[in-house]
Amino acid sequence: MNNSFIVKNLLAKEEGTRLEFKADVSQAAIAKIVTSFINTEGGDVIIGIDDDKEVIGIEHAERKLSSLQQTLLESIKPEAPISFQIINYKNKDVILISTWEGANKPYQFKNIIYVREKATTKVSDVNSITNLIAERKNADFHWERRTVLAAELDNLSQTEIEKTIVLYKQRYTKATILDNEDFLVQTGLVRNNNLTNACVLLFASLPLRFIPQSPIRITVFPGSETGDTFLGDRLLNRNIFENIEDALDYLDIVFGKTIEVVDNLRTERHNYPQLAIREALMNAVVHRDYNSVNSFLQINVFADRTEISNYGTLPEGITIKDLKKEHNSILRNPDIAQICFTRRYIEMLGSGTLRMINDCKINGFKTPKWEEGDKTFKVIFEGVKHKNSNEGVNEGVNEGVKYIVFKDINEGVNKTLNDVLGIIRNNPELNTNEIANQIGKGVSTTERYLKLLKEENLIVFLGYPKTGGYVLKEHLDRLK
Amino acid sequence: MAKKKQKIKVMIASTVYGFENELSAIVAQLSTLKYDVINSHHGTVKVNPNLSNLDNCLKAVEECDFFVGIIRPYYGTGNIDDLNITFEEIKTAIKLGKPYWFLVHRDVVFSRLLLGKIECKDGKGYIIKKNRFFDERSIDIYNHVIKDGEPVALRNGNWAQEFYRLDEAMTYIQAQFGDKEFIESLIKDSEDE
Repeated sequence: MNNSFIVKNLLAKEEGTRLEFKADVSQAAIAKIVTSFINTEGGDVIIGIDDDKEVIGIEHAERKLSSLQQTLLESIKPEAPISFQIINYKNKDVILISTWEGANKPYQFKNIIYVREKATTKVSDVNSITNLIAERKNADFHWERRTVLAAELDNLSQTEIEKTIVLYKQRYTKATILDNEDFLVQTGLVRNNNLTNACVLLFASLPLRFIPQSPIRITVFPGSETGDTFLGDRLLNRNIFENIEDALDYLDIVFGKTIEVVDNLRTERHNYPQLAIREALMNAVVHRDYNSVNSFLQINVFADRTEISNYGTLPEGITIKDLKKEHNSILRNPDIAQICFTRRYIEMLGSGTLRMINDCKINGFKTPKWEEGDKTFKVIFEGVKHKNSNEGVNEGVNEGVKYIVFKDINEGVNKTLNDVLGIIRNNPELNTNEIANQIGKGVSTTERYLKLLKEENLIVFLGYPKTGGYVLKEHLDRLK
Repeated sequence: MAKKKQKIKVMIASTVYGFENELSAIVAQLSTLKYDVINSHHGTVKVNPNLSNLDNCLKAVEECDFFVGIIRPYYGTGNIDDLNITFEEIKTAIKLGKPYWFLVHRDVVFSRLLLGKIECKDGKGYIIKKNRFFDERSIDIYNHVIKDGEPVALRNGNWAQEFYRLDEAMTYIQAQFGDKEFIESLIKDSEDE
């Protein structure tokens, strides 16, 4: 995605606690600023901007970023969530470094602790160190870091830990990891030989056993209200990574894709703002308040909208208004967020809600709406809806349902052609008469439709003319 | 031109495994308070290539103005000929009469108490299986510090502190070393003795 809008937004602001412009890549100076951000409120450094906010750009940005990235990742301790990217803005490359506020304070660069005070980065004094210690104490008492006394290493999915280690080593190339347990100790997910709540949510084979409030639920309702009838209902009760994958896969089916066919060329596009939905799901996973048996993460898909809601309100100091502009990201579950960042489920730090808005905009959807309840938080995507409320998105039939738009053919026929495809998908090897009966059309009309579908390479006729029938081409391809 | 004031040298001795970030934080805390911190894990021990690792570390103890020992349930891998580097550093600091402070992990304190109360019915004693979080030899270090070290008179004041979380360790460091004049006077007293 083109993230130049982020640079534009940041340039409209003045340097301050969370923002600094730098003309060039002076590694030590940037490392000190980034360390101070992590110890204070997080923030962004844009390199390639001079004191007058003139965009001067960075020559050979990729090479310089690579070296800078290595310095920052190796020298700032403990390991912190820092994201790096080159953004082309007004035909010049600038480097954007973003950080969250850290949850393992104090952070240091070359053994010195830095803090941010308004637009100044400075060495921590006795008072600010005392404050950082107090913040660390609060963080260590948070639910995420409490230990699950009944859980043991055997209860964890070793595969998920191994996947995480691979990506961790790509980021920290000099890291030495002895084994899976060692990795969990090094990342603070095992403390004093006990698994933390974060560890169980992230890696347990069945977290539900220890943390009953851990699942994600997705319900698909036929109309625009919740009710007793639904088209689909899934309770995802595996670990966070498997749940995210399961949720995204299921939503992909529920929302469906549109295939445009022009001269035998098929192009697929998602019927929903993929990045925005993914971002909203990750926000809910990372920000939801797990510290209650009432905690939930619910995704409701209606005929006219999608809602993602979770237990837990916005952190103190952040309002819904702030979500529509650059804001401090206060993490409720920083350990979970950090590992999701390592696993690349979170690709860029900060600006998440702005990128959601941007993604909706460029995909022709309305700006998402956020609502805060007494103890809950919800994001609503108007117009992001399930594929077909009449036919249902029922579980078995659902797999691979895609609505195909045939160019230069009216909407009614388009729909019937998709109906025919649906019938063939669910009942392979029906003949023309049987299909005609099912769609309630004459045989010659049905033959016309089937001919068109054959020409578009979507179906094929299998068997002898009198006994054979039609199957989807993609089913055949899958069997090969 | 006035001669630049020498920084006070503090040596931190600790096992590292599972404590890297915490140890870094304590080193950074003392560095930020403008002490000259000597710690082998942070590469700040001066290395004489003609000396062994252990001897280099013991030399560093000799050179420091004061000493902070951290006793954790993990004994460490820095063992040479049955000598544990952290333990040897601690013994040397005590022997040399360096002003010292100790942070002792709660699990070591508790284990010492618990193991002291264990009596096996069959008279065969007990064994602790090899593991990554507790090594009973850590109790030897603790015993040395509290029982076999310098005479009690030298151990006035809050010279050892139990800790469990990093903030507890850092709060102790802050309280002890935040006031540099006090530390300077202690070092002077110890040199005058």
